[in-house]
Amino acid sequence: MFKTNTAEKKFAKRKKMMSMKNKIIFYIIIVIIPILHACVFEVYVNFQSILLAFQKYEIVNNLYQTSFTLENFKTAFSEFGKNWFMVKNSVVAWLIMAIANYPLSLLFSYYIFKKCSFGGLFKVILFAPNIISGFIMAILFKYMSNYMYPAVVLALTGETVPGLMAINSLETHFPTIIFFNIWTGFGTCTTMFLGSMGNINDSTLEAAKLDGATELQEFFYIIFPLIYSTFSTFLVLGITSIFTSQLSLYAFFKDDAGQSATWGYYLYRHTIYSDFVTDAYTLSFSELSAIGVIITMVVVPIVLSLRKLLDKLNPCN
Amino acid sequence: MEQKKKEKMGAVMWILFGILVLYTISMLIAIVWGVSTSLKSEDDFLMSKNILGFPSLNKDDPFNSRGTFFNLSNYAEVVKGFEFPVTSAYWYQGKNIMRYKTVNIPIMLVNTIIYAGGLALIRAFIPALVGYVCAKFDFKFNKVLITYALVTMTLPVIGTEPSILALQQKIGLYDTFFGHFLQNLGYGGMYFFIYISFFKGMSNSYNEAAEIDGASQFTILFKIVLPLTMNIVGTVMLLQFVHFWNSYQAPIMYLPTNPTLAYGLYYLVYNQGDRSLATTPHMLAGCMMLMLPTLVLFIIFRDKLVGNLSLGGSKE
Repeated sequence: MFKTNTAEKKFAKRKKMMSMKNKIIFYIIIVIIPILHACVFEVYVNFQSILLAFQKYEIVNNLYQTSFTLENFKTAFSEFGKNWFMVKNSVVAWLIMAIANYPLSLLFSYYIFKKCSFGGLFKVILFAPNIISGFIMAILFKYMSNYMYPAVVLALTGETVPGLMAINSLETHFPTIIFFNIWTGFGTCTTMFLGSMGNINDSTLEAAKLDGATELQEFFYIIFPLIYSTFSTFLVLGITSIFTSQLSLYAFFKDDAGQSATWGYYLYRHTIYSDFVTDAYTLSFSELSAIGVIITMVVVPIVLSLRKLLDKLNPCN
Repeated sequence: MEQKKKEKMGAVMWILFGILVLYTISMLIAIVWGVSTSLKSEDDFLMSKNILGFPSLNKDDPFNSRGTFFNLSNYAEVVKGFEFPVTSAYWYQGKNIMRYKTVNIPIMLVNTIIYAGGLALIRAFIPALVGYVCAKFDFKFNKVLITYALVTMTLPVIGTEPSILALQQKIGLYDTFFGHFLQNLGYGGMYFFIYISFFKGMSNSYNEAAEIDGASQFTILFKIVLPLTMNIVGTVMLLQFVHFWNSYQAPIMYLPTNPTLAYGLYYLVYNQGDRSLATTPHMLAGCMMLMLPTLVLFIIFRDKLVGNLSLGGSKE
C-alpha cells in the first residue's frame, strides 16, 4: 500500500509538471508575437527615433549614407522659435477640453446613469460622432459654418457676415475648431464614465438616498469619488496627447491651417511628405525625430507630475 | 444588474435635459442638412441661394433639384465618375521603388474592407488573447506585460511616425497591407485592460473541468473561452471596424497607393481632378455614402456599440 501511495504521488507530481509545462508552452505561443511586435515596433522604433535625431542621410550611388550630426536639433529649435503659437494652441485646446468636455461628460453620464428622461436616446446621440467619421463631421461642420451660419444670420438680422471658417475670417477659425472638438468629443468620455458608474454598488446609493442626499450631494460625495480613477486616467491621457492632438485640423484645412495649427497637426503634415533626404519645403525623418525627442522630454515629466498630483487629490484618500 | 427605477428629476437634471435636447437638435440638424444638401443640384444650392431649405422640387423653378433628387444624380456621378491617381516612391536596397495607379470607388471599397476588416480582427483578438493569459495564468511575467502596456499608454512618446515609416521603407513593407497589419500586432491599449478585467471576472470552473477531462490549453481557449467571450470580443471588433472604416490619416501615411474610401473622400474634398465633382452637393454626397454603412451598423448594433465597456470589471 505504501508503494502504491508513493507511485500515485509520483504520478500526480508528474502530471502536474506536464500540465505546468503545457501551460508554459501555451503562454509562450500566445505572447511571443505581441512581445516581438513590442520589441520591433515600440522599443526599437523609439530607440531608432532617438538615433534618427542624431543622423543625417544622403544618397550616394543609390544607397543611403548616414553621418552623425546635431543639425537636426538646430532645425528643431528653429522650428519651435518660428512656431511658438502652436505650443499655445496645443495647450489652450487641451485646457478648454479639460474644463468643458470632461465635466460636461461626467454630468451627462450621471444624467444617463440616473435613468432620467430620454437617457437612452441621449446616450446614442452623444456617441454618434464616434461612429460617423471624424472627417465627415469636420466637413459637415465646415460647410455649416461657411454656408448655414451666414444664411441664418442673414435671415435673423439682415446682416451679411462671412462664414466662420471662411478664408477671410482668420480670427474665428481657432475658436470654431475648439467648439467643434467639444461638440464631437463627448462620446468616449461619457461611455467610459457611465461604465464606471455602473460598477457602483446600489446599496451605497440607496443608503445615501435614505440619508436625504440631493442629486448634487450624491454626485460630488459618492459618484465622483468612486469614479475618480477613470476621470484622472482621462486627464492623464489628455495630457499625453497634448502635443499629438490634431483637433481635426487636417480635415478642415488640409496643408494650410495657418495660425490655428497645433504641434500634432504640424508633425503629421510634415511626416506624410517626408523622407530620409528631403528638400527645402519639408523636414526630413531625422529633423522630425529631433522635434519629437525634444517634445517627449518636455511632456514626460509633466505627465508624471500630473499623475502624482491627481493621486494626491483623490477624494477617496 | 437590476433595472434602476426612474427617479423624479431635480433642477440640475432639468438643466442637463435642456442642454442635451439642444445638443441632440444640433446633431440632427447637421445630419439632415448634410443629406438634404447632397440631394440638391449645384444651381439650387448656390444660384437660388437655397442654403437652409430642402431641395427645390418646384417644376417652375429654373434651378430646381428634381433630377438630382429623384435620380440621386450626385451619388451616381460620384460612384461612376470619381477616380484619382495615387503614387508612392521610396528607396529600398539601392532601388527606387515607385508605384503609380489610378483608383476608383470599387477599388477603394475592396481596400477598405481589407483594411478595416483585417485590422479589426487583429486589434480585437491579440489584446483578448494576451488579456486572457494575464488574467488566468499566474505567472510573474504578467506584471511585465501589464506594466509595459500601462507605461506605453500613459507615457507620451511623440514623433515616432517618421521612425515607423523609415523602418517600413528599410524592410520593403512600406505601402503594403501586410506591413501595416504587422505594425498593428500590438496588444496594448484600453481594450487590453478591459479584457483583463473581464477574464478575471470569469469563473475558472469551466477551465478546471476541461483540464480534468484532458483538454489542452488550446482546446480550452478555442472551444470554451472564446465562445463565452464572443460578446465582448465581437463588440470590440465592431468598434474597431468602425474606427478603421473611418480612418483616413493612417492610409494617407502608410498606404498611399492603397487608398480606402475615407482617403478617397478626403481626396474628393481637397484634390478633385474632375472639377464637375468639386461642388458642395457632390462632396456631401460622398460624405453620406461613406457614412451610410457605419450608420446602418450603428442602428443594428447600437446596444453593443454604446454599451458599457467598463474598466471596472464585475461588481463586488
